[in-house]
Amino acid sequence: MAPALQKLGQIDWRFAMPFADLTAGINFETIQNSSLARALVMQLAVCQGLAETDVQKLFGALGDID
Amino acid sequence: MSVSRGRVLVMITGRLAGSTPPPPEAGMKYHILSGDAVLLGHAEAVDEALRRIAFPAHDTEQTLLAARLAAQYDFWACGGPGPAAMTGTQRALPPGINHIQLAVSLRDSFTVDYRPQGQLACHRAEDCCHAGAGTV
Repeated sequence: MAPALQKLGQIDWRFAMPFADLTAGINFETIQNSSLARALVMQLAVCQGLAETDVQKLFGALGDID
Repeated sequence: MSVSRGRVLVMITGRLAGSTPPPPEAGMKYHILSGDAVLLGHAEAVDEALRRIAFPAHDTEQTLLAARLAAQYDFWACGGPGPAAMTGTQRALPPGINHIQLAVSLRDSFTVDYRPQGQLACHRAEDCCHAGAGTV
């Protein structure tokens, strides 16, 4: 990551819109590693007609994203 | 991610090497900052973000709050009517409450921190008009 983006090892949020209506963040890695979150997402996805294997692939793809 | 006046700006960080983003839709663009960081969103918003990265300004209350929430929580949102609408509480906000902060942590336990507030930044629970937090 470019030095300008990091501050004390974390994202420098000055890239974000300074007066945004909404600012939000999602840590996909932690969510992927949480059995509770995985179970909730799996339950929601299956209720929407997705196959469990497809959801597992999705978790795998998101695992490298912060 | 930040949203303002209908424009969206997203930064994705992580192991992105070897990944090829799909072509952006009309009016959108992405900019690869490094092997582990990509900016994407509305073209104008991305261009403005690149200028902010090149010439960083002072932190605002919002950027400081974002950094604090990102360090503590796995999913979080803060701001004006957007988060309020997201939680379905926009119409229920009492007078003087114009910002919502919602944060969820899944690390050691399931923790939800929900704070409607009359000002943007809420660095301590006692500063908030109303504060609610629960742990399962």
